[in-house]
Amino acid sequence: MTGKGTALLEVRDLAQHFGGLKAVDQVNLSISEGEIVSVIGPNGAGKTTFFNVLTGVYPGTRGEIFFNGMPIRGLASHDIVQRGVARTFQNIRLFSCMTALENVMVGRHSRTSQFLLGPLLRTRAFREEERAVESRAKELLDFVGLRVLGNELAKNLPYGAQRKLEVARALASEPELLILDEPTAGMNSKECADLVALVRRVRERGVTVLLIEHQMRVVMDISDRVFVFDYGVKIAEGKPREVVANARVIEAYLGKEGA
Amino acid sequence: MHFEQHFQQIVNGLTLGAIYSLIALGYTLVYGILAMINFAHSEVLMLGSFAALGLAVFAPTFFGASPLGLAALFAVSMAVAGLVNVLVERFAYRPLRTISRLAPLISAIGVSIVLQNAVFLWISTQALSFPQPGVSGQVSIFGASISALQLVILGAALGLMALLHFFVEHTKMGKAMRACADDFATAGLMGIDANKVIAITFFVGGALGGAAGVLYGMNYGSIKYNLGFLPGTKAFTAAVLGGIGNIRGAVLGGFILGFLEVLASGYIPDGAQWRDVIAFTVLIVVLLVRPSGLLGEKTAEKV
Repeated sequence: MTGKGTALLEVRDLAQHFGGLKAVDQVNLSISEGEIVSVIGPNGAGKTTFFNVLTGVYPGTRGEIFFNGMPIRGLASHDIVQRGVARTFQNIRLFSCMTALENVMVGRHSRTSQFLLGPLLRTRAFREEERAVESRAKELLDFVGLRVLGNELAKNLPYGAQRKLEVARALASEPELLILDEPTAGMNSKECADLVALVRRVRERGVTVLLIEHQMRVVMDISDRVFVFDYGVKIAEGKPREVVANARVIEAYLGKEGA
Repeated sequence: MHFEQHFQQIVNGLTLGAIYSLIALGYTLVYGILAMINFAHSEVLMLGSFAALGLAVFAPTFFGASPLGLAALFAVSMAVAGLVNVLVERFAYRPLRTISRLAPLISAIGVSIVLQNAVFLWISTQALSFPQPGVSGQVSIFGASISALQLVILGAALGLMALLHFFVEHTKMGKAMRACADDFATAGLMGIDANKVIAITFFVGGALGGAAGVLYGMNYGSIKYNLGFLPGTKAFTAAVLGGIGNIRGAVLGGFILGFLEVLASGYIPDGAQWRDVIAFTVLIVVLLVRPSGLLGEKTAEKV
């Protein structure tokens, strides 16, 4: 158990280049346990690419990522999940032909052990584990407020519910760090408020949250700290109030004054 | 024609259909996950039947007449076929997976030719007679006498399909397979080791193919290096007919194709010669009306 104030995630000089395009470059930042941190920036600033390097979708071109002190850059996605990083997606990517409950159960894949022989022989260990996985998945559906929809196919759920289901599925892997890519995209204000409350409750479970967010009201509301990206580079960081007053941030969003 | 004869035709259709279905499952499982046609699957099936023959020749006492021996025959042949399929994936498909969609396909055709020729050169160029362990005689059902062998084939195939259904629907690895089939990249990001899931998929598909190879040998009484081609092609057709990538579709397609062939040869004058023509004509018509197959979902282009 690390104490408060220790870096859960530390990124040093991270870069992801695609040919000549520096999608992410020279990014240094660190996140402490228990924080809610937002990443903001104009479209094309490299926010999602950054998340993709963190979660092993891209290998990264240079630099280091330490999670709990262990280097994780370049590991396979499923390895990174195993170490305690889970995520959701900008455009919802549920397993659409599976039920809500099954989606969450799949999220638990990395935390269970029964493999081939157990299921085939219906061993007691296997049956107990299946029961445990199912009850845990139901508990998570309950947590995000979707218990009654457990047997619906994911593709038939309303949009807001799909977003919440992604959070439940990510939580199923028992992450220490939950990465949310635009969790409120396309939501109305009621759904937004729901999701903000959910993110807070996720933190209360002891999970650190890193999110990309475009709605400034949401950012101001829930973030402990904010990182600002522009052209792949981190141009500012600080408390939400400080960041919105930062001249470089205003310039990135609105252009140079008098230009 | 008497009722018994109709009933006999039905049983014939079911038997042939069951074999096609088992093979079709191997195509469809792999396609579901990798969106590639495993053209070497027909050779995996052939190797399964040769593995069974090898056992029956070298250990005739153990693999003789008893039901236990029969079960062992299946288990070993399925394990061999499954393992061959896993190795083929590991060395012939996986290194090419990221290069292009066409490369593994060509590689699959190459593997198919290599395996066929290996058996041709090293084992036998001629048809070998396949032992029919412990199953003989006729069973009387509804006044029709049905060969016990056909019932064994049908029972074994249906049992394996039930096992597959349980595996895919109710086990953790089955869920992981469905997750990978649904969205490969996301499955990885949810903690699933995609390469492991692929290997298991190839093992399961290959094992079902191996079992089908044994059933094929039992049904026809002889096996040959090129025996996989025709049933393989037809089972692939069945998988497409049912909607490739869809497990229930593969079973449905297999039985439909089996019935079509039997009906053609049993009820149409000179039908036996026309049965492939009839079966494939039906396939073409179905695909014209439903391009994604009977149970196939419309495929959205993955981003």
